[in-house]
Amino acid sequence: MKTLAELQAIKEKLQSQMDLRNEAHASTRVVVGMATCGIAAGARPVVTAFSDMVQEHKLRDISVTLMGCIGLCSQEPVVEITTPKDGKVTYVKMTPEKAKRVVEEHLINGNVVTEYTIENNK
Amino acid sequence: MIFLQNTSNYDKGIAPLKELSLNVLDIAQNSIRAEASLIEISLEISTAENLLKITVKDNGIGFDERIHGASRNNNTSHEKRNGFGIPLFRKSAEETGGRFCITSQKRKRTVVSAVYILNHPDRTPIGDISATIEALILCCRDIDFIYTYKVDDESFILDTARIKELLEDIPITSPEVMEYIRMFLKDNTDRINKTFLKG
Repeated sequence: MKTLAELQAIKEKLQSQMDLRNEAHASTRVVVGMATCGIAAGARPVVTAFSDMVQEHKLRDISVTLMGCIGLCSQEPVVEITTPKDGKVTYVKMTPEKAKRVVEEHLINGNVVTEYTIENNK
Repeated sequence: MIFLQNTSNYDKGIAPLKELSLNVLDIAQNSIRAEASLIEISLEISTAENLLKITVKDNGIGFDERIHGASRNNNTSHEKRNGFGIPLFRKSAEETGGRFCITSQKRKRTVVSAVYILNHPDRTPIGDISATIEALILCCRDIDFIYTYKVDDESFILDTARIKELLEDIPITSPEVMEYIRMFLKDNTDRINKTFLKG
């Protein structure tokens, strides 16, 4: 069972690490549509997948947040990803599997997954 | 002044969400939009009373009950597709012969409460409530959450303000902390459910 002592140990380990960037200034933003249309279409498993990848790959320079309906209800779940290199990219009809691929190819390797973008899914 | 339509839109075929934990995630979006700094979510099961009670309470800007009414049946947006969170949640409770209540005090709080007949055949499954809580914590780092899961006499609480206090300058959304929170939710939920399923 998880204890406060474990949490304390995690804190001390992270504090001792160099170059711990404050995620408030995260250079990469992942914004997931979480209005009723998004939730109905499967946005929560997509967030869980991003959370899986954050934990697995120890991604620190990323902020994951939510947004309301942006009028693309039939294309939900929608995820907008903004990186310094490519600016804002809108991914549509996302799934946990697609989210994992986007993290690996776009966030980690810097290559937009054009197959999933709104421009290529009209 | 919000224009309320005459007929109940949720009867026109807006599909219900498949898990009550998704309704909770949906209702929490209202609290976020209301600029809440604290959102309290509780899920309580009483086998003796055959009841399931879900509450989402926030300290956001609220609304004036006299103008908007504490029991809206219609969607609250001019656009057809939005504002169905409350009606959907209400319907999920009332379908089982349960109760639904939303109260608010402007600039202070809003409380949404749904009570279900636990073993009613039409009661939507709770689903993965821990996934809802984890998603909220990850995506709303500046909001505090107090989450209570209770089955009869067994319960646990997750209070993110206490966690942030302990962490000091380490973000709660750090990978290792999110991993801890995920396991904390799973371990405690499993522990309580095991006792519940036994008897």
